[in-house]
Amino acid sequence: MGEVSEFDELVPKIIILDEARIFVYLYRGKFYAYADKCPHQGGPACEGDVRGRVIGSVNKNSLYFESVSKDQYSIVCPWHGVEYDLQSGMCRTDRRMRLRSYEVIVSGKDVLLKK
Amino acid sequence: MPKRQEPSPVKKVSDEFAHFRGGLENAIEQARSRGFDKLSIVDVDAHQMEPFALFTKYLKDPFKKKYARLMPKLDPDVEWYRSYHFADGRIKRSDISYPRPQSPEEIVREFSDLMVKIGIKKSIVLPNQMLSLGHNPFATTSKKSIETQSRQETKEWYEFEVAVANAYIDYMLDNFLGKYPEILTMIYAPANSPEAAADLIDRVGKEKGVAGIMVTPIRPTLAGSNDWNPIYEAAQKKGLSISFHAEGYHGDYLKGFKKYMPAHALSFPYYLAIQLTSIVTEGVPERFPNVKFAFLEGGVSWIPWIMQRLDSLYWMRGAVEAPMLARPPSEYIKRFYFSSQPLDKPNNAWELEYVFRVFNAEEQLMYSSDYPHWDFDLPSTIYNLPFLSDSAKEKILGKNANNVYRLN
Repeated sequence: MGEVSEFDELVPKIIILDEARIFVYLYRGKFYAYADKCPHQGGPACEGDVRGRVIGSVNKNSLYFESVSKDQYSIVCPWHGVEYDLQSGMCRTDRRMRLRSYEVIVSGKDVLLKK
Repeated sequence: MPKRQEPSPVKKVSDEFAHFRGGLENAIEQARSRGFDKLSIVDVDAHQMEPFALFTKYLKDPFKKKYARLMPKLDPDVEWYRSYHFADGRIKRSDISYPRPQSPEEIVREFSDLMVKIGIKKSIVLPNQMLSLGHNPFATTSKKSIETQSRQETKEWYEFEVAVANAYIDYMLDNFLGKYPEILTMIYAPANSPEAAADLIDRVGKEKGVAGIMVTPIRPTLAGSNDWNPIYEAAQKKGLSISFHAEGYHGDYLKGFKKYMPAHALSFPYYLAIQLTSIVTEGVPERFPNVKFAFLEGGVSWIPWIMQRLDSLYWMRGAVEAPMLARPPSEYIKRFYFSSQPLDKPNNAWELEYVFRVFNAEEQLMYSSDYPHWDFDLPSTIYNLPFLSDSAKEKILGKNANNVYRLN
């Protein structure tokens, strides 16, 4: 995949493996790799934005409010907006759906993708 | 409730792939791997963002002077689409310029090339902004509700609907219909003026590429009223079906929702159910037995609900309040047609299978994409259903549409 220093946080690098496009993300020192096929309708999920997760909370006065997380991110499929957790690939709204993930190994300076 | 602060996108896909964001390449691959080219797939409900600036030349007297200046006010608020409709820019349509008004050249590219590549042989292309003409045409110029409009305003609004409906079909005839076999449309019936709608159906009902008649459901009158008879008579005369096309309406009681999702979930099937109920209980299928009815873009899960709801009241009150009916309401509804999108996604496949069985989807359901709207469905949404036979898939993906629309 190249060297660790070539990656920017949350900016995926893309490789083609067996005709599938795989997006590799760096976030807080760890690498995550996913096939860009949305399990919903097959959209190019990883071509979408990486966005902060929207979180619903209740404050001390029992008032409901929503905020955008600064440390949890979603990969958003650009076809229909379905969101996947950047660190697990799990769909935020259907636990039975997840992006196909690949193992990433860091060997010295090099980032390797396990087939 | 504190306002949610939405930041702009955190980081974007690296620049070298910037051209490759949310296109339909995966859909083209789906079509290839599933052999969609061997099926005659028809999409009964796709959309264009109609370019009103090009419509004014089709306005005819006495409307021309009066309404040419109002035409551009129907143009989309692109920022609203991007922020609200597209969930703060999360949803993208990189192949086309939607939600900006689309040129005729782009429509040809989209439906004669791109959609064919994803497996759709023919598309019934319907307008977008015009869907709100039935209830709120001057949304950008007046905040008044239907009830508080003056008689003069109402008269102008009705006239304007007629003028735009006529200009729309002339624009479509001039640019696409009969020229590109992949592109069809429906007559937009200005149903607030049934006589004028009937005149329009008479005028263009036999033109090539006119697949049927479309009516939007959210308007001050109910489709079962005698006032609508001219529309049914004209449809019967020309052998055209009537399709009610749902709308994303965020007015009336839905105004309270500050988010898109709840209003969207309710308004589509809700307003279709109102007009369906009116047609059935006033006996329109008995009075106009040769007119086929279709209900577009409500999904399918509302169909068992409205069938059972109407049947249970019919047993008790039908003899007095629905005397035209020879059978329970569900028997009429089973003869109506429905489009598939947005296909419901229950937790278990058997739930959807049950719904399909209730209204005999194999014969009555027609595939639709609704592309390029945010919740579009690919043909694979039907093709991948585990409980459908190959012949049922073929019917839903194309053959049933041939029974309802004129597709030549």
